[in-house]
Amino acid sequence: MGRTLGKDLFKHRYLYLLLLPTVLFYVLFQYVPMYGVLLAFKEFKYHGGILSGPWVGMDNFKDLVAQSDFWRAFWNTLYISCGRLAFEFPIAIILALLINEVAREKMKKFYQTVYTFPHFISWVIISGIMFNFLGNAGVLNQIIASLGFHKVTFLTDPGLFRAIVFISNIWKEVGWSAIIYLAAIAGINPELYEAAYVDGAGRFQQLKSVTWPSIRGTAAIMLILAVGNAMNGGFDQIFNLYNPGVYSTGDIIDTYTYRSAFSDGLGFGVTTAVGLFKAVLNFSLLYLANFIVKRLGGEGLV
Amino acid sequence: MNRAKRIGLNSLLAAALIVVVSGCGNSNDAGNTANDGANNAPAADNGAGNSAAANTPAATDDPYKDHLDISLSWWGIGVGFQQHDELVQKIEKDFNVTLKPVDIGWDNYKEKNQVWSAAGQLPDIITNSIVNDNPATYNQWVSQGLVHALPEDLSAYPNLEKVAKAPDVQGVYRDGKLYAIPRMTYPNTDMWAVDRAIFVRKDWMDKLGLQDPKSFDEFDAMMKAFADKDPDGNGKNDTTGIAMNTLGYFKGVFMPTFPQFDNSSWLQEDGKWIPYYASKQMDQVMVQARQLYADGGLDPDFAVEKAGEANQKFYQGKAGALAFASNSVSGSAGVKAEWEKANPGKNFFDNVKILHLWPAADGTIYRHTTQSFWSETMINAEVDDAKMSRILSIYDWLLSPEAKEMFDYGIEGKDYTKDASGAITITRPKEGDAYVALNKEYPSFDIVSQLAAWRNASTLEDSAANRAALGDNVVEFIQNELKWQMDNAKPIPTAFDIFSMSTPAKDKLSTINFDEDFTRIVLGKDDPVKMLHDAQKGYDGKGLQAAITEVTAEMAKLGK
Repeated sequence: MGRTLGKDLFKHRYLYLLLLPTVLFYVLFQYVPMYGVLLAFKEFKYHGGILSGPWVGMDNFKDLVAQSDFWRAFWNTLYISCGRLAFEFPIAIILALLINEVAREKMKKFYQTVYTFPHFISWVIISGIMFNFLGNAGVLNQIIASLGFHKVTFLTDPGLFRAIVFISNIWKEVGWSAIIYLAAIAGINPELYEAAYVDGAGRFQQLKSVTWPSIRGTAAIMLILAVGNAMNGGFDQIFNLYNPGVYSTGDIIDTYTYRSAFSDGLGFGVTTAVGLFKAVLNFSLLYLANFIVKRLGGEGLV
Repeated sequence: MNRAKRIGLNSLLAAALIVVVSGCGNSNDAGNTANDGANNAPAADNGAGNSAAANTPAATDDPYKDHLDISLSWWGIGVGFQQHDELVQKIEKDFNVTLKPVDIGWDNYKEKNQVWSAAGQLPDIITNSIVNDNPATYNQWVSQGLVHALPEDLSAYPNLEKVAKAPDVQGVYRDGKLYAIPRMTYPNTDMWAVDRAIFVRKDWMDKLGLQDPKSFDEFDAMMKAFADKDPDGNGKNDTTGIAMNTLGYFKGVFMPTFPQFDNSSWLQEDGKWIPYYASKQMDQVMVQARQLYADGGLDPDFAVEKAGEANQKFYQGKAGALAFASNSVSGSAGVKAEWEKANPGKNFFDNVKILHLWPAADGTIYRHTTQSFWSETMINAEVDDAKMSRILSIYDWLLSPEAKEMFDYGIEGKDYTKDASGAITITRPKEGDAYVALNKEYPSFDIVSQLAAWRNASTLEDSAANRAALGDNVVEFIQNELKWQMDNAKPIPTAFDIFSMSTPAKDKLSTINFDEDFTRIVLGKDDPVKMLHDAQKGYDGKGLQAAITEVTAEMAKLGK
């Protein structure tokens, strides 16, 4: 057997050579650092690195669940992630379908570029723009005031924060997320549309019966990935937009961990415990979503 | 591919992975041992270090014979040291060293220090402020050997020794050793009075017919009038009452209501020592702060603005008051210069004044005070004895009268001359009616001059140097304010011993961030007192009661 395998490897050596950098990348940057999760069960020692501290069992987790702020962050993460799935996820599909319906090729490219562009602006800049736009002396409040209404504290109102998070993220990312669907749509055999046209299908019926079934598989996989990412909630965005006034609805696990590790001195052990906790939940969610999609007759990831 | 082949291929790939992983694992272990070695070294030669340090100055040959590279961190040092100006050159030449700047920012220096400490990348000279701000972290750094203890005998460094022996530095010692050089702000705790001030638009007060407030309610009414009554007369509802440089300065407004809230100190209540945020007196502060915010008298954006951002609102006539410090009036980026830049043709002192606080319920007017130092220098444990003594020599010089003269007047022969009697003639060029600021001439000035001690006391002096650099009216403004505070106000009764006191439960209180809760309650819609009490209950879960018990016991030992 060994000889056959060796032969096989040798025969495809260039293919394996091409694969090697990717494998190495994952090993070096994804698998090797995983030993760091041991810190969740250790007390961190500055000298000697992650492995040298004494084992503390589940103490870090006990410390963690005793923190009321942690549970607030946990539930906020869940709410915000569900909101992202409910509002942000479908909008990219709808946008892709709409762009696809634009008849003139040039206009199609124009819209796609315009919608994709905000993706390349960092949240630091966007938060500055939003502050100027939504602040007390911002454009929006000036309009509101000139119409005779009371100014709205958009950025410090816990009731509005999640809506602002969703809307700003849709503005920034919807074009980017739509690309994968546009690619899937581009791959649809034009004969299907021609056949549908001959059968008398209008544009809406074509969309319903040709386009959507063709990208449904892509959407399912994107959904599984999004669910697997649910406990992440979007650190960059929230960190740049939030303030103590909206912690009650906006503080997510990642921002809580960051503050705890670096500003409030909760310790690296406890904050690693948060990370591990989150990763385990993410993994279970991913598996669950995959299972459900498969049960519903779609194609899963594994 | 048949099944056997597939299994074989998979196991081969897995084997390759294991080889790579274990390879990395080994190199990690090697790194760890190297680290451990470095860790042991300073601990082992601590004793030797003392004698070496003491001996060096006595040695006959040049103590600075060997050239040394010293890395040091400071806020914005990258830009300040870029030009490698004559101040940096002087230190490097005098002490035969090369200074390697390591940049930190005001927004992230604590995070950066934490990351570097974990990665073993701390610079030789560490700028940080954890001794008081995060005593738990300081204790960890000390107990885990991240930082070097200073030699117990500092007699070779007389200026440094003075700092080490200052009364309120004693709390920084751990097991009889000093692990940080506190950066002294003032020679005593009185001069802190100028670190809080409410600048107010005198012209707006006149226009609206407002008098100096004699109570919080009158202050609130005044701020509300700034917001509602169109004090700038532009017909638009675009002004607010009070803006703040940072939240710390804004707390000064509540000094009459609850003095210890202003300086975040502990106080005795019902026989126990408690932190200010656990006090009953916080109830009224919360009610007042909420009232000010709800009335529109407090800048509605205060929670989202970054440090210093809101000052522009005051400079540009969008806010009637600014919570800041009275000594921040001076300098090219000071309140006066910035205000006059935004209001061309108008004189700052004709239009702006400091609003003095009203008396507290007991009739006393309070003024700000706190420990005589803020932030500290620490020395990396991996620094060897030779470098350690060189660093201490540099710091001793930075604290010397000769260095002060340089920081006051610049470089002798270039910026000033001194005759036989010691009289000083400033020779550096003028810009308008004032001499060119030294920090303009030397980009590293603000860094070098404040490495070992803040320059606050020097900038407050009524001296020829200051009159030349800042202008007469600025010097007099600050002098008058200082005098007013000394004549009329009393320092906040402050338990200085507790600031850097360390007990197991008290150290854990660093996870309580009351400023964030304060902001949240001010912005909130529920009853502020109820929100405060809920927050206080949450603190019990973080060990507040245990900390109170421990600190009360410690204070009892001190006879307090």
